[in-house]
Amino acid sequence: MSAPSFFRRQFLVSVPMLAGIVLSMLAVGGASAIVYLAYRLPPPDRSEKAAPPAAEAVVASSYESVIRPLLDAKCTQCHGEKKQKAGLSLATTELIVKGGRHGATIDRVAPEKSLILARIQLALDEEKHMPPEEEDQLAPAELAALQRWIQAGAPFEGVVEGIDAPVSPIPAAQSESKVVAVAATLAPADPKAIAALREVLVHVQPVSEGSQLLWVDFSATAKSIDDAKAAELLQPLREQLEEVSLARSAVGDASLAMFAKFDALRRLDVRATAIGDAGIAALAAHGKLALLVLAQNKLTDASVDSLIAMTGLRSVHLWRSGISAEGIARLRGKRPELAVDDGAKSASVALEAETTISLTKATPPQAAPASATAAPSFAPVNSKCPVTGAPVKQAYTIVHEGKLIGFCCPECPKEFWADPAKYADRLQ
Amino acid sequence: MHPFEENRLGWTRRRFFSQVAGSVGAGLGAMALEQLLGPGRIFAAPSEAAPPHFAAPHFAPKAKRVIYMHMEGAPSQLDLWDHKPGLREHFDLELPDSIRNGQRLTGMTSGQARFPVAPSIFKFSRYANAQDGVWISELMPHTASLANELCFIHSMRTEAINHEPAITFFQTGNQQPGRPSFGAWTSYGLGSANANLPTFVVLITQGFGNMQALSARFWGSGFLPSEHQGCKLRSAGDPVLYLKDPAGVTREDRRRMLDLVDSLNEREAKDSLDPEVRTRIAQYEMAYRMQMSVPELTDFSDEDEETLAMYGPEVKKPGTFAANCLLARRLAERDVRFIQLYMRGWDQHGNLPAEMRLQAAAVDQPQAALIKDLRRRGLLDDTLILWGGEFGRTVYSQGTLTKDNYGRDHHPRCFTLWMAGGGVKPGISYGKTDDFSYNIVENPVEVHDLHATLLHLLGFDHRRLNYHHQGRDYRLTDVFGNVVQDLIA
Repeated sequence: MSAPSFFRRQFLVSVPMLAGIVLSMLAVGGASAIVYLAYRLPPPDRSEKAAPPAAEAVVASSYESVIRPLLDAKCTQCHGEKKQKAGLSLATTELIVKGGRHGATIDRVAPEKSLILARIQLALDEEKHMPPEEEDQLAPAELAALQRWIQAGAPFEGVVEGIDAPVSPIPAAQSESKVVAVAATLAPADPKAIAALREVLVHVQPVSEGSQLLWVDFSATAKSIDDAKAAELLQPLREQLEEVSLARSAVGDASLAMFAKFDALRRLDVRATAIGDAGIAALAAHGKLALLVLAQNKLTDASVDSLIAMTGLRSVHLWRSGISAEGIARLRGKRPELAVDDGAKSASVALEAETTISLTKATPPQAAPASATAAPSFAPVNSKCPVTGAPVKQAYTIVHEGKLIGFCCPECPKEFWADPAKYADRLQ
Repeated sequence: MHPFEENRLGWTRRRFFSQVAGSVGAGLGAMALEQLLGPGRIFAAPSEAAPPHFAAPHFAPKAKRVIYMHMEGAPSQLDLWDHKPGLREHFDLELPDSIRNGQRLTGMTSGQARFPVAPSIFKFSRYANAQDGVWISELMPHTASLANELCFIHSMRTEAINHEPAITFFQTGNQQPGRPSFGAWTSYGLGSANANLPTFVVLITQGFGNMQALSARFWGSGFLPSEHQGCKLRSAGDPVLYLKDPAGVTREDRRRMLDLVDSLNEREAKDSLDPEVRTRIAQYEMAYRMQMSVPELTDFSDEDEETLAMYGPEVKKPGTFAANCLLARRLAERDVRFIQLYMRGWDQHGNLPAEMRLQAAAVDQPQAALIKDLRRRGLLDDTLILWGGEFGRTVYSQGTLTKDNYGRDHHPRCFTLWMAGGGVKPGISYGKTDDFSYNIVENPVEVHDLHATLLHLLGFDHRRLNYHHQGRDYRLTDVFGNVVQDLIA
């Protein structure tokens, strides 16, 4: 929610507001104005603090290596040496223990109820949410580290299990993906490059919350995107692109050659474009690309070897790609673990089918234990169909008044049921 | 401004200081803002000043978009998916009290003297899947051929027993009207991936039988910003009303008019702070772009014969389920996030066998074609497909029961729906009903559970996809919902 309101706010700032700055200085008096201003100043550059400490012989305590930098980055601007909003300073270990006007920072009896955790976990638009809505928020991983540290009794010495390295701002939930390892050290995307994409209505978003990796989708303006345009828009994001959808665009081999050098790229959709074998050959050097959609293209079997060479590839779509059935067979033979979709998945077969249905009114269950109904012979009482007089077929039988009656076809039982009495004399 | 209005617009102390035009604090807010943004940024045009704002899923999603085929009126599970061969020996016998167990009935059958068991007159076949096969009715041969890709839930249940609240429940997570629909939540959470088309599109097919009201609020945005509501594409005439400019108005004229209206709206937005004004501006711009993108979308002339044939003979007739399935594929191709197809007319209180044949024939081939067509284009992996009605139908006959005709009343206690594609476990059946398909005996799935699971596949923790409204956070699953991990690949 913070981003949309941030967005809105910028629209709403106007010239008359700026004029208000000068007035406000005069009208309210400098002191409070300056306090408020300082409160809202952006935090200092914390890139040094975020960087992992150099390897040391002695392992630093969890507090020193993780919690202290975290507090300095997100809290002490207002709750530190310079300012103690709400009477709280988190500048030293003693002051952390002491707490502020609203009570102790850390609840040692019920750690999960500690005030510091409660305030951080309040909804973003709550007045008492910390850090304030406009400020840099704690990443999920940072909050998790803080929680773990407090759960462990908030020790200022020693290492708490699991908090011995600076926490990356990447959500822990995605740890399964290897890509995250890349993302941890990844610089955020250049805002100008993102603005340029949006300028031409290209969709761009992080692959998930907090990730620097991006998914870019050209579907809105695909037709106007050629190699030159794609290069111009995507080169600045080469480190961040994890997934690119260029389906139905005009890109060709030059773009594929460009993508060969995009190390974070895992999924690429170039369905129905101008790509050719040369592009696939260039892309073959990309060892990490996992999904490739090549449907509706004009490739030849020359691309098969390139596909075989893509070691990271897990799934490839080749419907109407131009690659022949033999080529696909060869690919499947060489790379049995690769999911190759040629658009001809075989249908699920019927293992068994009902050929006939007989609707019967069984005698009420209590009167007919299973053994009693199972015993009698399955031969019908009649040899000729009561409706047509044709010979009875074993498949078309019903039970009527406790007797098994045979018919010549599946249609006759319906006639029979319409008026069983009419046929009573033909049941011989 | 009246305090109530301030509250309604969600003002906080911080926002007050940073936003109020001309007031004392505002200047400070603006100054601080300039500090945050860097010099000059606040004078910049809105599009330049906008920082990268992302809507993003909570974790890496399995699916990027949803195609939800809602069978309005509620098809009978007994005649399509939930095979109960044992019932054939109970034809016209009374539904045992031990099964019905005094559960409520609708007013349409509660007065019946008898509740005679009506076995399905349709033949079933067992199709190979990832388990030991799944029994599917002869009415759905094309869909059945995809059994190894479908994930059946035989144990859905719902709270509501009548159409309107039941559909509202499925679409919004609440039986009472007023909440945002599932598609609107998806739009809100994921954002648009194609700025030229609405994020949430609704396509409607008229059925053959008894048709219930289809309220536009089923795809409404509730209290979410109205840009998230579904956009219904019409089947006759222009897909969107007033798509074409009037005679004599050129595209340039339209542009100039919009620029003027936008500037007026921009002023209003600054004065009133009403987010709906901002939505309105965005919607005008969207409508302008849709004048180009929608005709291209709905023009099937670039489809080849083989593809058209796959969807069946009705594909060229606008508004049929076949045409809408093809349109759904074209929307998915253009990365529209939420595509909802409504097939009306499944409310077979009487004359079920004949009507069901027509209804099933209308949907079977097109829906199977849609899945196959998405798959070969590489789109099925990240498209989540959902098929189902708002409740099930009773095992007992409503009205006269004969060997070849019967009807079925509403039955919320168990029914079947199926999913396919994005992250769904393929080729399985989940949950079981009793021999009368009346009660669930294994793994019940609530509507909230389904929503939680679908949101999970879209990359959301359903407990965290919230919207603050009238003093509290709302979510699609209210305070319920468990992700059904067994359904996830």
